[in-house]
Amino acid sequence: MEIDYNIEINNYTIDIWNQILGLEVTPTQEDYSPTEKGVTLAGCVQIMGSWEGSIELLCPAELAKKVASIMFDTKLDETSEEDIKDALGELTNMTGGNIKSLVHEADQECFLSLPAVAVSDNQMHVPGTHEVTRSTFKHGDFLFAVRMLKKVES
Amino acid sequence: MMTDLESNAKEYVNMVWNTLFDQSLAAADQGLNPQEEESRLGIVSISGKWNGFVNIYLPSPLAVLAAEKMFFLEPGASSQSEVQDAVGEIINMIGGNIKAILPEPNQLSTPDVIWNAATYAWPERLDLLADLSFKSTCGQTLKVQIRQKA
Repeated sequence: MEIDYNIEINNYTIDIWNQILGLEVTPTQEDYSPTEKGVTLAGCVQIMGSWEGSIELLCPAELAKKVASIMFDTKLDETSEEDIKDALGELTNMTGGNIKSLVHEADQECFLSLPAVAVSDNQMHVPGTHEVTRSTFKHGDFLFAVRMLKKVES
Repeated sequence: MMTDLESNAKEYVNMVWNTLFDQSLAAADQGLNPQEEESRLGIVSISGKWNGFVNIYLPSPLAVLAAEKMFFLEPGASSQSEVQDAVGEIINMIGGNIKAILPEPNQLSTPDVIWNAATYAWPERLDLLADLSFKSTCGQTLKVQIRQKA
């Protein structure tokens, strides 16, 4: 049966944000297109092995700060940039780990890279891949997105 | 003293640069500082029996020159996407060679390219195994590093 990655990503993301952070997020049809530099963080993990590609989590810096504040139990105004990047990396890692379990074939292992986090929009680019799916979520007034990119077969 | 990994990596970087651009690289004592000089960052991840990253820092003008050469473009005609692809291809080739001398089995990821290298946050708990600086024929320096997950 064909896997609907969009549905799976929606379910994983709702669960992770709810169980780890206690935050309610809902899938939305609104488009999250980061346009202003410095306001968005991009987290990325690579999947290698029988399925090759990457998972990106694009998140406004303000929301990432809230995430870090909850994850590390710090006051919002005392949350460091390091904590913010670590928190987004951890969320990306959890999201990627769940998606890895979907794409890996039973007899062939897949590996997950360490998470990478870059500040601001359009900073992270994965050459040689195409977008399989992109899901956008809403938390309060914030939008964020999860992208699944697959390596283009050469 | 240079480790085997460092000397092999140095050789591979030279080989890839020569293959792609038909130019040699000289060793440089001081590499670029991405916090001070606008630069592009290409990263590949290696996972399996050995876990870590191989990355390259290219100053912006050198990344542009690389794209122009790689895609046979007129000076000044490269797009951001072409520069990203060029940086990705360079680190993919370097990482592919380095992967081959690391403990097997291991897997090489697709490359990540960070446009503004200064914005990148390296994951914690990584040991820097190699930090190699090179000078290109146009006088600009580039840096290749190997980091292993501790």
